[in-house]
Order: sequence, then structure tokens, then C-alpha cells
Amino acid sequence: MSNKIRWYRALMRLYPRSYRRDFESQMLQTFVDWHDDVVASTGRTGVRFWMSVVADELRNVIGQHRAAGVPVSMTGAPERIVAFSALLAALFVLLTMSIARPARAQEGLRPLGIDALIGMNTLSYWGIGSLSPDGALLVYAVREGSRLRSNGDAAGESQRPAGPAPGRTNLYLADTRTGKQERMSDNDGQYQQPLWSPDGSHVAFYSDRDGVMRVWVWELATRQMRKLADDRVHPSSFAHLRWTPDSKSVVVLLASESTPSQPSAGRPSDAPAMQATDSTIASGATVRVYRAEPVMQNVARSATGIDTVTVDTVSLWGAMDADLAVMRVADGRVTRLALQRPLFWYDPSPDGQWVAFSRQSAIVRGVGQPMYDYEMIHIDGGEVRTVARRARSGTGTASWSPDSRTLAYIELGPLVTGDIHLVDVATARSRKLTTAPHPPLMAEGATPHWSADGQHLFVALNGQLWKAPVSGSTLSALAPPAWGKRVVAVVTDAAGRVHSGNDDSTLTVATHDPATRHVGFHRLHASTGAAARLREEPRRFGGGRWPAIASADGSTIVYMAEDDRQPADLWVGSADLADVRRLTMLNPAISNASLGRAEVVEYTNANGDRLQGVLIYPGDYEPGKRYPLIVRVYPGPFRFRNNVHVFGLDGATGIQNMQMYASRGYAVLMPEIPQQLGTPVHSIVDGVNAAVDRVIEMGVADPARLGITGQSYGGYATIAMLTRSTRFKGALMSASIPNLLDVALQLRPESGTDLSFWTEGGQGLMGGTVWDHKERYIENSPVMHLDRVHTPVLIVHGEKDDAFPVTLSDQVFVGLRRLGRVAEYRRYAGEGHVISSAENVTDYWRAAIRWFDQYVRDAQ
Amino acid sequence: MTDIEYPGRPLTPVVFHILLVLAKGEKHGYEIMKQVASDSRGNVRMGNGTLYGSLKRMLADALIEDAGERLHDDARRKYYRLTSRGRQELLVEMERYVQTVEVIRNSDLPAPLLPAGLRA
Repeated sequence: MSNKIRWYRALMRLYPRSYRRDFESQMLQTFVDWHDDVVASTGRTGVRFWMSVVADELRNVIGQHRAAGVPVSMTGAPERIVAFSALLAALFVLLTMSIARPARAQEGLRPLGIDALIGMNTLSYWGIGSLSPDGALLVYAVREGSRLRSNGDAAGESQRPAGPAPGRTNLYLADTRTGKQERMSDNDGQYQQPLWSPDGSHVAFYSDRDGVMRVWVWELATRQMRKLADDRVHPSSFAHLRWTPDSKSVVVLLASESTPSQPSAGRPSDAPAMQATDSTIASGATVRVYRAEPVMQNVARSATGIDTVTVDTVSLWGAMDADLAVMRVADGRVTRLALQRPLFWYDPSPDGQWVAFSRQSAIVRGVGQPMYDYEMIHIDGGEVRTVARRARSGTGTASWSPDSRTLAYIELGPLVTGDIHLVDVATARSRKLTTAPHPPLMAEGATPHWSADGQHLFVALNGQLWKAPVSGSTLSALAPPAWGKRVVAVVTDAAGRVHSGNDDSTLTVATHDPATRHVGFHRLHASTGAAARLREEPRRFGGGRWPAIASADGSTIVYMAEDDRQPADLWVGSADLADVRRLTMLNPAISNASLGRAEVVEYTNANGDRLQGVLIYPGDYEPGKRYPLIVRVYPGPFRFRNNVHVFGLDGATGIQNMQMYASRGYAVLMPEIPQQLGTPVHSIVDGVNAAVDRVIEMGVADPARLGITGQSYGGYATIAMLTRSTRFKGALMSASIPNLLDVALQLRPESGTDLSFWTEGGQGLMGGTVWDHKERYIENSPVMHLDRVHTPVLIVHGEKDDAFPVTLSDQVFVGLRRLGRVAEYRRYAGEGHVISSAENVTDYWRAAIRWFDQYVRDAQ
Repeated sequence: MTDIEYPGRPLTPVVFHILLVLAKGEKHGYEIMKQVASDSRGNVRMGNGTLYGSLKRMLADALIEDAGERLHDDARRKYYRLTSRGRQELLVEMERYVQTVEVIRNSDLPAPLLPAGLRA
């Protein structure tokens, strides 16, 4: 029995017996609910809480004694008065203990409150914002957590151009020299992707301040904002804002005028799309047709035979159909250049004459190699010309040469190895530039950058900066291997021009040092590859789209950085980054919480592999004292050692922030868990146990108070671990994937695709089909072994999870319930793969903290 | 002197708010406590003692009744519901509030003396 229950029971003894008989058990339960809610919201119950409990109870005690005819005044029977006084004295002692004991147990702990977490201010995915051409002013957007929308208020969200930015935003203007800041918007909507015009006269941005997401501009001279036109912006994360070089117009993606904003009543909203893509569907029918095709075998046999197995995907991207348009700033005139195209990228040419754009035209089924067609049109309109077909350019981006004659893209994806191609836009002829042998480059997306003279191309990939002379055939690493830094990105201005310090012979790159885990900036000589260090610091670049941006005149660089106890903020410096200053302090109150310090720990698994993980110490850590430990798991080839500078360890906001536990007196461990094909569960057990043993050996973790949690594939690892170990006293799995058999054979009804690629070649690690490896699938599907689970499990899943369906968690809950185990299942309506609404994140944390406090922290 | 007649005696704010919460459905003790705080925008906050003291009186006055125990969040909780008498008392009290607001509205008081919500 916990202390709070014991104390409240003692308090209840003051009531008349008849009252206790009728109400004691329910009052006790209500008190526990209330107490736990207060602890979950504010981190603890202070003196004020306990005083209000006592005052309220005593009032009722007196009332109930009066009602029962028991004397409570000096005129009553002496023995009653004595008994009552004694009870009051006992109560005083108990309450003193109740207030003092938790303070001793968690000395100085100031938990990071749920409200504080939800109310955090964050820089949006578009992150850093935009520097004026002279570097004097920065405009940036802040997502203000205190103004998060509720579940039901999703109308504006559907109009959002950029995906990962729920909640409200405001635009801010900062003077980079003085640090003076002002808010440009009025808490009246969302503001995204601010972008200075090349002449520095205007800032264009998206906003739904009048109810619908449209393009707006703010004029520096008048400091006023105005709507550019009534046309709706297309709600896709590819809807970038671009200025034409003359600063007279912006290029945007608009919702097609012919696209109805609401689905017609009386039929499924997607039925028309179905009909458009499948000629076998009878007119008016609402059937959705799925077909099985023997494509996997062909691809597996020969990657060169791809033309026989590519699938035209133009029709698959119907929801992305949008109009490419130019909006004139002077009068708001809108010219729609290309209609109803699912565009992935677009950019006006440096001479302002053309706009080039790409759309995915095909994909190699089974291996997922995308292909893109590149098209272009004159800025004033006219005929759309296709200049390259089926380019295997990863994410479909490209870059214009400074003379506007050539587009460069790099081939990336499962079937290609990083060759740069050049497209002559006048003749629509393409050629492979990097014909000489070079190391294979693997990544999902990257874009080559042109040197100012148009003679070289540079691309940051796989930790290196690669250089290709336009007049040659080579692709070579610029920096020597002994340099030891990884190139994260090339620093460019908003137009993609590389930043080069005082002359054009160098490039500024953002770097990461794998040994020290410091991020920084270096200047690389474009010919020799000689590196000069500008600065390095024990931080991590924030999670935005770019780590840093430069002003067009090269005078100023702004970057986003965070560390283990401070969420991401913006920092500004001159071209050589010698005098860096912090430009924002978005969450000043966060540091008031008892945040834990993170450090890298090393351990060895059963294979003898030297591995590393990150440990956050409890916020009140004292050497020599053992603490409850929560293991945050996510197996795979991930190097979590770099998360040592991530605020929250696994993410700053939502359900990821592990400081929520550390600031409540838990140690948190995120171990590196490499896996072997065919034996994922074995790898998980080996990796987790080795890491946990190490933290116990360090004297930090209490072996009797271990918990485990994970999201998505980490949820799989959580339940998998519980089927092989009883050392954990409590567990939380969210959006878990506990049944590989089920996942391999699940149909995704919306797209008609399935996840067999995931179980066979992806994280499932089965290495083949269900029929190839029946035993392997069973052995590595935790639902088949739930009878071995004895740890209380809190199960969390969003009902609209379109990555892994909620029915997977149903199976664990039903199984554990059938087996008579302790489990709680929180199934969130309207939530997807990651619980995200403010209300549900609150609910999640209250449940999580209650669960771990009950089963792990307070374990006997 | 007004000639509006008030049937029954006015309810205390706590009793009124509990009746209002239970008018929307059966609730257990902590749900009532939270909902009252939320409905009253934090103006009516009660501890456990006040809540159960009030519930006891309301049971005795037959304004509410026991709706049985149910398992919720792994714990057994007792639920309460309105009786027909409780519904009637709530209705009367709400009418009393509405009439009071009307009286204020028709009082010809100058705007500064009126609460913000009733200013023209």
C-alpha cells in the first residue's frame, strides 16, 4: 500500500463509522485519481494541495459528526472530545510526514510538467526562417505550443502546406546585429515558410489568418502585411515558396480550380479517383480494385530489367495534383502555368525566364526506385516542355546552372549509385557527367550545388563533400579521409548559392565530429580540400530542413542548435562564425525543471561488439545512489550516441521527450541495438540486456526497478523483450508491431499496397516470405509468446494509424487479458502512428507516469 | 417588489453544478469533481470531503441515486445518476437563473454597473 493511501485512510478514520461504511472506498479511489492527476500535471503534490485536502476533509468531518449526532463542541461528552483531539493530533503528524517524505525522497526535483511540454515553443520544420539579403534581419516562424489546437479543430490543419507542423505559429522579425525582436503576426493563424525577396523589400509567407491557407507578403517599408491573392495554396509539403530573381513575383503551388474543395455527398470521397485510374470500373461504381502482379521475382532476378517492371505512378499521386502558378506582388495577378500536376520540386531559373519542375512518373515495384520527369515552362506561360524523362533522382530535385542553361541532378535510390546528370534545357538532352568510377553513394535525397562560375558541382552525401568538374568525368571526395569530420550540409543562401567566405575558392560546410560528437562549421578549399575550422560546439543541429543558412551577401550565417538540456534555438554569426550569438530563447522556463544530464555509455554485447548508448541521469542524481531505470528501445543500425545532444533524447515534444522521466527521478537509457537478419528478437534481447547490465554495473540503475518503453518498431522491441525476460517491472509500448505474420499479409486499403517489403527486407528482418521462413516468423512474432509475459504492460495505439494498424495492439491486449496478465490499453480515436494532439499527449503522459511510478519506481 | 415565484429553495452552487454534470449522464466521483471544475471554469472547486458530503445529502434528498459499480481504469468505481426529482430541481434552478438574468437585463442599470456579458 502506498503512503498516500495509508495517510488518506488515517484521515478517513476521523469520520463517523456509518459514513465510512458508505463512502470510504469510493472516497479513497477518488482521492487516488485526484492525487495522481495533480502529480502527472504539475509533477508533485505541494503543501497547498495537502492543506486544501485537510481543510476540506475537516469541514466535512465536522458536518458528518453533527449529522450523526456526535458532539464536536465543548458541550459534548468529554471522551468524544478527547478522542477527536487525539485523532486530530495524529492527523497533524501524518500530514507533516506526508509533506516532508516525498520532498526527502525526491530532493530538489522539479519535474518537467506535461503542460510545460505541450506549451513548448518550437521552430517549425522550415526551421531557421529567412535572412534578408544583407543579413541584417531574420524572419522566422515559431510554433507556439500554448496555442495548440484541440482534437476537434482540424479544419485549418487540412489546409497546411507543410506536413510536420501542427499547432499555431507566429512570425517574428529579429535584428541579427542587436538581437532586438518583434512579433509580426497577431496570434491569428498559422504562418509558414517566410522568405525574403532577393531585393530585400518584402517577405512572402503562407498564412491561414483569414481562414484558408494563402500567400501573403509583408513589406519592409510599411511594415504591413497583405494577402497577395484569394487563390488557395495546395496543402502539400511540396508547396515551397520561391521568388523570381527580379523580386516581382512568387512561384507557388495552388489548389487546382477544378478540384472540388469538398467531396460530393452520397458517395465515398475517393470514388472518382478510383474510376479515373482504372478503366475496368463501371461508371458510378464505388468499387476499389486491388491486383496482384508477379513483379517481385523479376526485380530480384535482374535490376537491369527494370523497364519491364516499372509502374506508371502519375495516377497514384492524384491527391497531390496542384497548379504551378506565378503571383505578381504589385497587383496580385495570378498566372497558372501548369495545371493539375503532382509536383515534387520546382524552381525558377537564375535569369528569371523559366520555371523547371518535376513529377514522379514511375517507380520500380518491389525495390521502390522512384523516377521523375523534368519539365519546364516560360515564366509568362506557354507550352510545357519535357526536358528529361524517368530520371532516377531520389526525391526529384535538381539545380539550375548559374547561366540558366543546364539542370543538374544526382541519381539516388536502391538501383543507382550517385551519378550526376546534366540536362541541356534547350535541346532536352541529358548526359551522365560522372562516367569515371567512383564510390557508390547511397541516400534518399540530395541536390548538387553549382559553383559560382558554373564550372563545378558539389554535393554533400554520406558524410563527405563530393566534387565533380563540369568539364570532366570524375566524382571525388574533396576533403582528405584523415580530416575525420562528417559533412552534414553545404551552407547556402535561400537561392541555393554556396557560401564561400571572402573569395570563391572555399565552401562553408556544416560538420559533425563522430569522435567528439560536436557539431560545427568548416571552410573547405574547393581545389585542395584543405579544411579550416571555423567553430565547433557540443551541440546538435536542430531538426529543421537545413542546419544553417547564409545571407545572400555572405555576411551572416544563422543556424539552429540544441543540447541535452536546452531545446533548439537560433544562433547567429558573421561569415567566419567567430562571434556567434544566441538569437532566440524560445523556452526560458524549461531550464527550471530538473533536467537530467546525458552522457554516452559503452557496453559489449554477447557477440563481443563494442556498442554505445545514451544515458540520461535522473534530475536529482547523487553518485552512489541507485535509481529506477527506463530503457527506451529502438533497434537497428542507429547510432544513438549522437542523441547525447538531443533535448529529450528521442525528441523534444510530444510523447518522445525522455526528460519527462529523468526530471521525475528516473534514469533513462537509449541503447544501440544492432540486429541480425532472421533473428531480430535474439538481437534485441542481447543488446538490451548488455546495455542494462552496464548501467547497473555503473551503480546508477536499481536492478529491482527496471522499466522499458518503445514506439513503433521500439514497441515491437518492448513486447519482444518481455517475452524473453521478466527483469522489467513495468512496460509501455506504443504503436507496436507485435505480429510479423499479420504485418506481412496486411492490405493497406487506401493505397492497395502491403507491408511485405517491411517484414522481408526492412525492419522485420525476416529475409524472405512467410512461406520461406514459417518458423522464423512465428519465433519473432511476440504475440505467439505472450504466455511468457509477466510484466504489467501499458498499450497505446492510435486508431487511425496508417503505418501499422491498431488491430496489432488489439492482439496483445486481448492475448494478455485472456492470459490473466496485467495490462491497460489506451486506444486513441483520431490519432495516427504517433499520438500528437495536446489532449491525447496529456493523457498519454499521465498514464505513462502513473504506470511507471506504480510498477517501476514503487516496486518492492 | 417582483411577483416572480420561486418554487423550492435555491440550490447551493456545489449541488447545482453536480446536478448539471449528472444531467449529461452517469458519472463517478472523480469525473464529477473534474467536470464541475471545468463547467464552472474553475470557479467551483471542491475537494473530496465537499464532494462526498454533498453526494450524501443529495442521496438523502433523493436528488441523485446510486447507479451501481463499474470497472473503469482497472478500479471499481461507484456511479451516480439523477433522479426525476433531481432533474426537476435542476430545471427549476436553471429557470430561476434565467429569470434572474432577465431581471438584470430589464433593470435599466447603466452599462458600467452591468457585468460584461450583459452590456449592450
